Amino acid sequence: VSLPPALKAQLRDRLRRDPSPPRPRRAAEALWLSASAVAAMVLLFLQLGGAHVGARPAPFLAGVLAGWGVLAAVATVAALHRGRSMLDPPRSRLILTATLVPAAAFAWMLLWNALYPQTLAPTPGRPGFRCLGVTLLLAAWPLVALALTRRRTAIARGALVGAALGVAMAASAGALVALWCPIADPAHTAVGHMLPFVLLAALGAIIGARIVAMSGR
Amino acid sequence: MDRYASGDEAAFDQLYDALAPRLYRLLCRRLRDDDRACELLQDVMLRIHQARGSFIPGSHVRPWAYAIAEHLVINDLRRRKRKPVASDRDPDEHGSASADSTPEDLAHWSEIAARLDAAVARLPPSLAAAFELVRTRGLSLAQAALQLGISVTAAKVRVHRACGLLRPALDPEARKRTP
Repeated sequence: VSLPPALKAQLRDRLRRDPSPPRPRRAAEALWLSASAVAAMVLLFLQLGGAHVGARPAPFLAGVLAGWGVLAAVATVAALHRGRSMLDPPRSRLILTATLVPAAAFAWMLLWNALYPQTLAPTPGRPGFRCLGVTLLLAAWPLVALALTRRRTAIARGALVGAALGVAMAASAGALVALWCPIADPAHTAVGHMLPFVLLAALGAIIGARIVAMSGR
Repeated sequence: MDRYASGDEAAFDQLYDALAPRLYRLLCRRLRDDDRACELLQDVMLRIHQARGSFIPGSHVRPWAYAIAEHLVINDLRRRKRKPVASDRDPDEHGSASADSTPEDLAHWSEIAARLDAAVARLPPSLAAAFELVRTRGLSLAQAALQLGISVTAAKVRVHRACGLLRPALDPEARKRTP
């Protein structure tokens, strides 16, 4: 089986019509996008009033931030880390990230808040829609920006990488929202702090299939 | 690949020479369709080109390229399975044997097929290759021209000349008429 001789010239012509940025430019773009993701999340959080300490003691808040922060870091690394391989991250790693991180966040919220029972008191007037909205708002640009840093890199698992990234961004935004919101009753937590995981994972899967996947646009 | 990822456009030739022949063999083997293999090879190289900015220095290129090719093959086979290629040719119209052919018909067509094979084997290689691609494998003249590395007109002339040389072999009456 021999290659058609005209193929190389034809391919070179096709590549010329569809230029792609070389590594130094992609690296600069990725740096800029990552910085803008962090800046947008933090600035928006501060714009919304920042942390609401209220009656919550400082060690409690530090624990809230530490728990969510660890989960956010683990999820982000699991979604984006490639090591020295150009292949997609293992499917199991992505699925575990997308499922275990929200479960761990829910468990952490309930367990840690159990140390301060006043935060678990039912709050009928606060179903959690504000927390839901704020989390989605904080996570939206970072999710798109980080997906853009991985543009057209996933061979077969674009949607899964996107979903894991969505969960990672939900955890990152969730860390800030947990500083902002003093309520932790299970019903409020489910709507305001866990539903964003589901929605952002779904949004991430769509973005991943369109941006991160090699077959995407 | 490292050089190409860093923006050295001239490194593409080396990358192509190192990857394309192996990938093409893999694609031909998996698809059993040289023409489709050619198209998918272009897609693989295009995807490598589009992702070159995210190439990790020192990582292995071949497993990456093979994974892209394998993914494209799977998608292609899946697509073909979903939408079977509708043949616009009626086999009987071209005189091949159909399901309800009699043993005499089958014997007749197998004799013609044997005569055609022998006649094609006697053709000059350039004409035989063009005839094979266009009339046997059903490629268009443009596709055959690309495969042979010649112009479409040249491919057309070769197929026409091949048909002219094969006709007397298949039609004994014509052979008698030929001086």
